Amino acid sequence: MASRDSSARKIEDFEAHNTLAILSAIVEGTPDAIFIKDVSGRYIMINAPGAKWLGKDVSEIIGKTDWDLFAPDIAEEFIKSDQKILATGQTMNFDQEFDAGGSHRIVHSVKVPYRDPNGNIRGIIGISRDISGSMESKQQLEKANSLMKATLESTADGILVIDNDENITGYNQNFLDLWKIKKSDIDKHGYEWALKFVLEQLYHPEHCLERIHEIRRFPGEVSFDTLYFKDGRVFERYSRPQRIDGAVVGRVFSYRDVTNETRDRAERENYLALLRTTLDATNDAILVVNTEGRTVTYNKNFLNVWSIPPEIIESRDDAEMIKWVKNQIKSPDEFVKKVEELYKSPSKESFDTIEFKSGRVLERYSRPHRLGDKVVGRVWSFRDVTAKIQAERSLKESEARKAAILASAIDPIITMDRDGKIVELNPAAEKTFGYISSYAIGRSMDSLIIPPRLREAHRRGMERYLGTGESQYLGRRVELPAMRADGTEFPAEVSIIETRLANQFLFTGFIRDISERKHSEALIRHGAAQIRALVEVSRDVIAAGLDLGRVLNAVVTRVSAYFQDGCVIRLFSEDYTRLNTVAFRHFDPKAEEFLRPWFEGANEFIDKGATPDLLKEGRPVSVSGPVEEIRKRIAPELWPVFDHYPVHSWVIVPLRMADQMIGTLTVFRYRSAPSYTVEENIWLQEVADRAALSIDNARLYTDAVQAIQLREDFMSIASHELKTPLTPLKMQLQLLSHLVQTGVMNVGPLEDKLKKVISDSDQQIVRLSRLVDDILDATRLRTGQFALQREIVDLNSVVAGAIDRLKESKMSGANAIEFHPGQLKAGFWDRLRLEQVVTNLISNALKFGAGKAVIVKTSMQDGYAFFSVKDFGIGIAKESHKKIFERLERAVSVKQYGGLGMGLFIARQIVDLHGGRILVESSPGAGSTFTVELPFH
Amino acid sequence: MLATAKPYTESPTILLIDDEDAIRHVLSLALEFEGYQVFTASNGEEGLRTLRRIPRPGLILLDLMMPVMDGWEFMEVLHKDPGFSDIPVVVITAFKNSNEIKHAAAVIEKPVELNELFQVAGRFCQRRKGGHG
Repeated sequence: MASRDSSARKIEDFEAHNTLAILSAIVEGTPDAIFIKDVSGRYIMINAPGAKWLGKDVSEIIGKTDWDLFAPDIAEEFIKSDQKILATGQTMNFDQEFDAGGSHRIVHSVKVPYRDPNGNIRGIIGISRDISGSMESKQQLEKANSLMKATLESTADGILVIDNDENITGYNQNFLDLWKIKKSDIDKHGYEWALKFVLEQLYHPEHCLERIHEIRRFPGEVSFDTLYFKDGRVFERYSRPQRIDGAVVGRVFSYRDVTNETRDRAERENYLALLRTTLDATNDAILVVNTEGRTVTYNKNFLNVWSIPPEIIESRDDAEMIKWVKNQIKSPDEFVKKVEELYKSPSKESFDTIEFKSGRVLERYSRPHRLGDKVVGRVWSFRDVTAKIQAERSLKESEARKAAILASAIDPIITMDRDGKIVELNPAAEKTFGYISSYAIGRSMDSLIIPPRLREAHRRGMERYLGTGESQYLGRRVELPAMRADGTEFPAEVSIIETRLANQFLFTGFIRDISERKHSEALIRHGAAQIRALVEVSRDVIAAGLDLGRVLNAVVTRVSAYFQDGCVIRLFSEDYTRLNTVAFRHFDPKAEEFLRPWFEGANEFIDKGATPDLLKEGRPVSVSGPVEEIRKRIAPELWPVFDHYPVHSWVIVPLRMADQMIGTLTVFRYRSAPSYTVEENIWLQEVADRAALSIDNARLYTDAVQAIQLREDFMSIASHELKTPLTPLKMQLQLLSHLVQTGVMNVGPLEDKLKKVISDSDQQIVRLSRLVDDILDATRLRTGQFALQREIVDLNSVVAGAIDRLKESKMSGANAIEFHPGQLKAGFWDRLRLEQVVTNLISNALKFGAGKAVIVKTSMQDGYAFFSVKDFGIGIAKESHKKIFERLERAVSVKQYGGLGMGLFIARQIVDLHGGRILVESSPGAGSTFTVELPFH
Repeated sequence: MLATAKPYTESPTILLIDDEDAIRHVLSLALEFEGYQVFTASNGEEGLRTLRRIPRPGLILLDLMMPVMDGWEFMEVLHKDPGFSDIPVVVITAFKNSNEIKHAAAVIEKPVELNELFQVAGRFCQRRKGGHG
């Protein structure tokens, strides 16, 4: 029994508490006094305004009776009415004048019995309103309450309000519908139960619970979450604190079913996933480096963003560049570490945010630059997101200040009176429509947000409703176009409810911008055809690779075929002063033939009038109209063309890279076809966004290729020029040597020294001319001009000859070469190139062989000839084994290269061209063995 | 073997035709030190003109790659001229497969080794007194 009593009391306490909470949450902010007394007349609750009337703190009143607080005659009247209520259960309404807290008040009070769940009267609840003040405040109160109720009931969102003790203080029907909760259940079981009920429906209840805990820990924070249901639905949850006078008194949760939006978005993303992976480097500033970290190319934005002086970028030295940018950012060491890590893993992609000391914020994206399967470098992109982040911050701050329920509505809410004048609009409405409250209030609603063509119909509808009470909109959710302050329109979902205050009509409209949904719907509706066409464009553009001409051609060909119209691409000149036509195609070959010369000759053509608008707005510009009107907009010198091919509709969309426009994409249409639709405009912009990326990439690549070609040409010419003076120089030295030897030149005791100088110089010339030969060979190898001249060759005699020549040249250590020729067939090889390989490997062995023996062997097995050179010198570290065969410019450092020059690279290329391979076995200190495997044919 | 070969002619005169100043200069200097009388020309056409104004040379040293008239053309013209067709021509070239050069008495590969040059010159020319080597 005892336990049943106590649990019953608990429920009662809970109920009592709950009721208090509802009252305090909703009404604490009102100017009314609200109080509760127990059966013995003691105050068990009073709100702050009530206490203020009496000039006391709330705590001073709790536990007291009216005898303690009022003059005896007033107290007696109050108590008398209380007793009547307790006895009869009636509701009492009365006006009373009294003096308290130093002022005289006339109050209107409503008192009702306060019952427990069993229906027993446990006390009295009273609300007293000071009616000595103006009627205006009364109306305002009613309006606020009405609006709040209206908001709760007619917003499409499900709303739940709880107090600090997690008692439910309010919810709307949508909340119950969304969560499939029965009203009787939630009223009976409360928040704990509701939470459990809700969690059971979710896919990841633990995640949601975690967020709820987070909210408990930080009651003052705004919180947003996406909830995924087991049944596939998706909700967005938005929650903000409910504040009164700055103090958090509870929390408002708004739920919105975004299942359809999410699914549409997912579908689109699915279609475009292929593209995204290739094209996701949307970027402001771009730097391309090769695998060695040297700059291959960069764009103007890169210099601007990092304020890099020309001398540093021209040095093309990555280390210098890192030093420069390091000084500008907040965590330089972390940045440098990341960069180094990325250079170590050439195929890795990475994303990061970089904060500048100046407060700027960049998003950094880095991905490998590939040619075919090969990683040839790295593309760095940087995007300045400072403005975005600042905007996000200030938005957060301003939102945090907004009052609880009205501001928590994500959608615009506008209230007007029966004359159509705006009475109130919430911040979402200000933002969406672009009007500030102080401007909008008092103005006629239809002139601000209804597109002109619909205003007449709206006015008629209002008149009809006010006359007959019939409306096709009221209480329903309807789709209508709405207009922003700048005159642009968007599709909106509108629901209007009517509230009557005394003799005043108010209409409150809840407006949701559904352009995103419309956009998705449009895409899905036209889905099959449009997306297939989009994928085809993308596929062709990707297939065109990095060839700018092919990329442009793919775009104009596909787009003109899709619309069966003309299509033009224009790109900005380098100084951004002109738009140059770079590609043109018309679906109709005759039209193409006629129009092509005009497009190729004139960089500003029929859309002359519209291009400036596009440049100003950065948004697609769509023009259509009667041919006579269009004609007037065109320069007279173009009339002959126009009269032959009268255009009545065209769309220009920007080709954008991040915030920058690189050019325009235009389609235009002959008079017989209808104008372009909104969906077609959207489609064209989608194409343009993809094309812009590919065009930019192709331009970067073309620049890079030109730079490389330039360098190859330079190397080729430079090495020929270097070689020319070497021949006479060598002969002059020979002559000098000859003259000293034959005594024609008598230098007396200096003879030996002079001979040494001459012989050293000769060695240097030999080395120099070999280096120049190497440069020439390397250049030829790179440009594919290196052809083998095959003949029947005996490898053993090639090796023996090479060893003889090395000995003749008196190369130090040459006498220590041991040659063990094996049994060999003759092969079909390039004799001179093979000799080059053999000489290179043996002379390397001598150079690094520490003066010890060098063992040269040949052999034959399984259709291959083998040639090996073994030394007992310093050896090569394992991690360098691959690098030593690479071109000098690819090796990590000059130090690791150890002066091997280009010889091993050339040797390997020659062996590769023969279809063979070259291998190295070595460890530091233990010497090295280089082995060449050559197929006989 | 070359060193022991008998001179082909008694003339100590050599005509050197090469378009590169530096090579012409050093080769003629070397040959003069060896006791030969050297005349030079910088292309085939100039060579033909020079040939008519100088003592009949015992040997013509000829570069192949030259402007105006190259070495091959020079040899064709020389070969058809009965007055000069018997003068031996030694070709100096960077081409590796030089066996196929028509009408050449010998070939010296670039870069020129002085000893080889002296040996070849000795095969065809008589040095003047006062030469060294």
